[in-house]
Amino acid sequence: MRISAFVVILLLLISCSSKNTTLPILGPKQFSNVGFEGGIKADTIYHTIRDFSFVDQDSNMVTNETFRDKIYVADFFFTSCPTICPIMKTQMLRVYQKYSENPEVKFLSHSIDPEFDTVAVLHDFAERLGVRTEVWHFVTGIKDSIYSIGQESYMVTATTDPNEPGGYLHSGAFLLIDKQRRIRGIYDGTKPDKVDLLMNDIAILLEEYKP
Amino acid sequence: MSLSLRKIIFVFALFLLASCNSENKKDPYQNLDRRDRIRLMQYMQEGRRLYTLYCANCHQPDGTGLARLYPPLRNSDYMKANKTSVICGIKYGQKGPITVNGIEFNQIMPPVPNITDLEIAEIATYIYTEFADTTQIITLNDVRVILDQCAANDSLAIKK
Repeated sequence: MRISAFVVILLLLISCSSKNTTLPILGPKQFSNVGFEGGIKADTIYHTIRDFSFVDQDSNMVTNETFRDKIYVADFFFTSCPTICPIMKTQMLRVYQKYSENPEVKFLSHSIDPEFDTVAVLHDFAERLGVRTEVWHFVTGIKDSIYSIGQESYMVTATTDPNEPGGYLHSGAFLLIDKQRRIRGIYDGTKPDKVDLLMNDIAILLEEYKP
Repeated sequence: MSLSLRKIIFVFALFLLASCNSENKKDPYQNLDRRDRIRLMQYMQEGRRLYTLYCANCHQPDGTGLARLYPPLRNSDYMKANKTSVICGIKYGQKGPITVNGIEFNQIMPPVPNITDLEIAEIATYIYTEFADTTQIITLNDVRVILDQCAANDSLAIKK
């Protein structure tokens, strides 16, 4: 009994110390040779979020520049969604409430129903949710562009599906993006315990940028 | 494990059980006769399941709603005053602004297609018992009478 208790405590201690690990860099990697001090060396090119340009709830252009020197949490939703979006928004609001005062953290919610979710609709939605535009951008834009950035850059599904309540099939994922536009975590935004993990990972990621 | 440790654990478990009991609210159904009581319990059981399936995403499992987006059901003055709209809304959805406890909400509530009258009765019984302190069962018959009045309701998302 005593020995097993000792082992358990030891294990606990070990698991505590592993908290210092860094987050993985997700997505397909490429390897290429780059010029380096006259010679060449092999380098890893990580998957990054491509250039984008959307419009947010205050009619501001939102581009990669908006997230320069920020880490951000991205997701895909639509305002009239009856299924998982309200849960996602409830959960994202928890993350927002924890990090909204941190100037290094932002939020980006893409509407996958941009024809209905106009700037005015998104403005009303954000205002009713009670969040600040400069921290949490709700964006609309060209449908194909939003779908393709979802699939190619954020690696989540977003398509129209007439059989789905609300007419859209989409992933409930939250994505954690670092200052180099790389994906550092994917979380199920409908599960409170996964969102707890995201909040913890944000703190770990912020550590990386501490001088 | 020594005997005294077992005793301590046993007493502790007893204590836990006792404290659980004392936390239970006074039985809200004590005035009902046995048959109604069983029926209400069945409605509540099914109602809770259906509420979780169709309503809780927006209105939240505890009925508190979400900010100014989705109105609360718990202690909602609107729900107490507008039973007809609430029951019609479950079936046909609802649109346009409403005021709940002094706060204006204006989000479309989608209809629940293919929901049966009995399921509406179970949801209605659940939300009125759980969130509005009513202890009366909302029967299938009540629901049918109310649904017949829906045609006159302008705030329905889908007109009958």
